[in-house]
Amino acid sequence: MAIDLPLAQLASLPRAGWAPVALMILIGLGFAATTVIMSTFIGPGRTGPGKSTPYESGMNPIGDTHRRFNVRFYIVAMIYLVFDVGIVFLFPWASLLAPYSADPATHGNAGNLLLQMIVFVGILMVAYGYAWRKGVFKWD
Amino acid sequence: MNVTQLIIPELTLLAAAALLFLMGGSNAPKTRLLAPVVALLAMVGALVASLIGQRTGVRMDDTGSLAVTALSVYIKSISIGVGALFVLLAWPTSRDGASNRSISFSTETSEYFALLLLAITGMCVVASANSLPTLFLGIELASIPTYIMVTMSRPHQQAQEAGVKYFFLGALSAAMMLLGMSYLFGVTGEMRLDHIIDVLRRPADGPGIGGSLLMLAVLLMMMSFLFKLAAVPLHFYAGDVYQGAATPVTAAISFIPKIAGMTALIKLLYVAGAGTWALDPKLMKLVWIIAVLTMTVGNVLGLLQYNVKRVLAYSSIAHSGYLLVGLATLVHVKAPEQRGDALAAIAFYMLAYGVMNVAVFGVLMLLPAKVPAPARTAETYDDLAGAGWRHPVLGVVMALGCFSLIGIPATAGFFGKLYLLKPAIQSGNTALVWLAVLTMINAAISAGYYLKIVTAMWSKSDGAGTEAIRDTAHDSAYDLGHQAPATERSVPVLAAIALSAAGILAAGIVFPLTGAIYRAAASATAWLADGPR
Repeated sequence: MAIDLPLAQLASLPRAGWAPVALMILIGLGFAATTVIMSTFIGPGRTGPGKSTPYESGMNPIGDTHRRFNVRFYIVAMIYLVFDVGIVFLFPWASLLAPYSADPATHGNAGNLLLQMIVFVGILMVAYGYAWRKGVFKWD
Repeated sequence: MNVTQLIIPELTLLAAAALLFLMGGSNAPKTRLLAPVVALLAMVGALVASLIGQRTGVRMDDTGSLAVTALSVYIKSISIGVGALFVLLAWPTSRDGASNRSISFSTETSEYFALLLLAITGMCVVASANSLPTLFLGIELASIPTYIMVTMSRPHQQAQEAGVKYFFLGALSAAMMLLGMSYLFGVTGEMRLDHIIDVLRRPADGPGIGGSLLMLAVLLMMMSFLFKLAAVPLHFYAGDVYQGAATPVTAAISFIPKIAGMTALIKLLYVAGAGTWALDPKLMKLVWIIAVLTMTVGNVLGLLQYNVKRVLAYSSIAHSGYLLVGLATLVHVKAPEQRGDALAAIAFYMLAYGVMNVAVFGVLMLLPAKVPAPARTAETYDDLAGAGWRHPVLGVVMALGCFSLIGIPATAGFFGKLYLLKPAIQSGNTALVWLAVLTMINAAISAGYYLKIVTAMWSKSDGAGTEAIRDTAHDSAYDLGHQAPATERSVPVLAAIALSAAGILAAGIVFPLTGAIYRAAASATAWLADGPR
């Protein structure tokens, strides 16, 4: 019944069980420390106005970063979530539905599965329709 | 069992909420005036569905993420029932459907009721949740709409501040809950609550499975649920949030998250005690300490407030403390009958508390503020001064509500406290007898501020020191169309007040009714007290 989880096992094991974790932490810290220390020694250490711009070899920055953004961007980002959440559930559902309805044992329940997704998408559509009515997509 | 059959009340509320959101797209005053009707019908429908769906035993869906028990039906019914009163409190009474005496919806009337329905749906989901993800979703569904309701209820900075505070702290508590759940899942390897109990009961692992990790999981989740209850030391948001929100919203947020959190807390401790309430003694002590701290701090700070909504915020903290007294009794007593008594007392108190709160907040939102900014309706003792003489009915109901909140006989609150203290005293456990004594001392302290509200309302003076301000503010206060003192235009609010006042009195005087409610609460919780199913 129980899925034997690493954490449940590790909690019951002697401390040796944590050795790979400790090793991983050491490697991680060591790698970070080595690169930082090495670059201070080997790096050429040039300075100048070009060097201190945010995108050293990319765009030239214009003005301050603390500008006001139009609130529309935030709302559009939130609407994006509607579809984002939709796809998160739709994809596993879609990949499960075919084997589910093909299997005679679970075939009878496939309609129920479809109904559940219709309800879910319906709720998302309500959110979308609401946003549309409220004029989120009007850009001017 | 098919999941759809188990969640008919939730689906009813959800469908109505979806409809209300679609109605929110319209700008017509007619649609706004229709919104509360839709919400109320949905509440009634869901209540009927929940009561009809009552069966003995536990009904689970195929995946086991929902388990409808007698307790779930009870919690669902009281939350939907009291929720219907919240709909009445927020009923728009202005001609354009954009506001009532306290709330300003602007164009978002339908959305407000949709959010209220969603929050009630969340409580219902918590009531029947049987897996960690469902429990989390239920708690969040009950909480997130309340953040928005706080912010949208008034066009004032205080409401915005309250909403943002509530939101960020609520998000923090959600994170705590998830962290705790991840540990509980890690330790037991199970998501379903009944399976977690099975794992904890397995003799090889014993109740000490995972030891400190299990304790950590329970503590983190407890912290989050105690935050919803506004228990000390997680009560700091309560004052600001309750004050910032419009009064009907304050009424809603003093009930919805609290009941959801308390239900989740009972479920959590039931699971952590492996279904037998065999909890770690440290955990038992912790619940005792938090109960005492919560009621004492709530009551003492309540004495120091000037704003009545803040007073009621601290009163709600104190009442969380009383609920936790029931919980402390529950985890301390050894006999299943006493455990049953404690559980029934908590369940009874939840309902009594909800009804008392509706009465008090309902009266508060009908009384005008003497200085109309920032609040249009009464908020301070000065606003209340002498109001009882101008509106005798409201004054009597306020007195009744306050007496019930103190726990004076012949009110529902008296029986609430009586039932809470009975198992504590009967147990003979020293810690519990002390707890009962401390509860009674606290009830006496709380009388300090509740009676202050009553005396303010029935004082002969008209609010000392505010005469000058009132004179200048008076005209503008009554010139605003929707702020006319005509009480008959707030019929739904008056209906809610009348219903709750009748409930308080009936449950306090008509003993067969009190007994019937108590027995309903007892039969709803009996299966939890027995230990192993």
